[in-house]
Amino acid sequence: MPVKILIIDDEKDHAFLTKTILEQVDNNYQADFVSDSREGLKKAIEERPHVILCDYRMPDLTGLDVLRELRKAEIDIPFIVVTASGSEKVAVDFMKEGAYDYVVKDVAYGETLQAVIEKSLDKYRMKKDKERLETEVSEAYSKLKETQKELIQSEKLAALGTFSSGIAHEVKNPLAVILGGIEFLELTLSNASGDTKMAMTKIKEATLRADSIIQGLLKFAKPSEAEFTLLKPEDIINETLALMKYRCPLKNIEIKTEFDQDIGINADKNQIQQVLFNILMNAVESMPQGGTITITTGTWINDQNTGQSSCFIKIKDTGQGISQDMLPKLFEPFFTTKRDKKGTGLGLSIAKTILDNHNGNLLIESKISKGTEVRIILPLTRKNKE
Amino acid sequence: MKKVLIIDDEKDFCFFVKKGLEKVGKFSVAVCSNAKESFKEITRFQPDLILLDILMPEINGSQLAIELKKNKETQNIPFIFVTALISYDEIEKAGLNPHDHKILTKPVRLSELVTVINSAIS
Repeated sequence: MPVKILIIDDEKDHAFLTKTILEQVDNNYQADFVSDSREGLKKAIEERPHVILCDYRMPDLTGLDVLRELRKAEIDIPFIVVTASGSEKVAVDFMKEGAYDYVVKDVAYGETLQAVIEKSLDKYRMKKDKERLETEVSEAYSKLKETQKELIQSEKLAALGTFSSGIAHEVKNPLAVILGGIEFLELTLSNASGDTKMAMTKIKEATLRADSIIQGLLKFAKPSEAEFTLLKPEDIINETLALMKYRCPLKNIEIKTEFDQDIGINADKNQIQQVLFNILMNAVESMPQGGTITITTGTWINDQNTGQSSCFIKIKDTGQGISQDMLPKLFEPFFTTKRDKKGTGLGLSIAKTILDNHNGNLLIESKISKGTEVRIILPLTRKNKE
Repeated sequence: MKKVLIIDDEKDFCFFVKKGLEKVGKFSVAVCSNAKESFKEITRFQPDLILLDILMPEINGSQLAIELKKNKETQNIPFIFVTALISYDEIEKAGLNPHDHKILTKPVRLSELVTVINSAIS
């Protein structure tokens, strides 16, 4: 590749001489000269030569002005100032401003020119190599810190998984005794007063709630291995809706669906059903007076260049909505807005963990009194017309 | 009256389940909290169904199930596992294929237990 050298010198004869010398000493040098310093600056900015040889004393912009303008524009081109003999102090001023080197117009001008240019080019390459290495080191360090963070997180989760399994077993046994005991009391004290019966009901509900927290904690901390199969989103949605209707009557709640029939996803059926169930239950509980849940499926292209697409399942309710300050906390384990309604605070954490394991995502938008829109994003496996 | 044997080292659990099954399910119920003595109890009680815990000291439920299947006198007695283990991984680690057996997870509601027992016996 030729080395492009821009000579800025108001003395045309000298500039021409320099160009001739350069092209003689190295046929790889491609020199060009400009006698107007302002025009030289413009050319340097536009054409970005490899080296600038600039006279220091010129009308309008001096050599120092040209150098300062380049530095102001953050343009780093090896800048060599050409000074008259006995003007070394000028050269020092230039070097302080960031010039790479200087060359004196004297009898040895022709001989030293090439050496100075090559030295400046070497200095420039070394500087760029250093900068690149520093950037690489900085990036590697950031990556290392990030990996370390992820490792700590995954170790924490693994420890939490083991710990949760142990706790689950130890806690579920006494819970079984409590539930057995309370059901025994219900049978034995069938003629008990209203307060006693209410107390027994509350104990039973609390026992079952403690059990569902344990189960939720385990699903969050130690999710089971996903078994991926090709699924149609509308099939899982319809099955989940059937399960929901069985588990809780959907009083005054209208369910509207709009499915894109032609999409397929590769996912674990049970886990996606769990995600849908958790989100739909939140929607139902946000509409105690009734309302509408609209479920839509579809696709969109993530990347126009690669054509990579995703599948979305959008669940929109007309419920109470969630305040903006609550939104960032929704995926935190044990965060719940439904403590009084026996929420465990694990439903969305589990859903997010499952979707992360599917390379998917969970996006939530909400407005108080307007409702909530949850989008489940999953990689699209198939889009065709059947 | 159908006979149910509970083999579980959690004595309090056995006590309440026995009372509940007797009252609601109208079963005759016996309890064995020491798995090592379970064969003696099976021979004596001749149960129609066994409720079997998985994690027990000395002999676990999966080992006991294998022994039950090997023995001519017990091989036709249906059994249901009732365990505090929750994940398939843990059940597999305890030596069982979760798809091959009826497994209920503690705490289990009495109504569910009665339904499952009736279904298994019939």
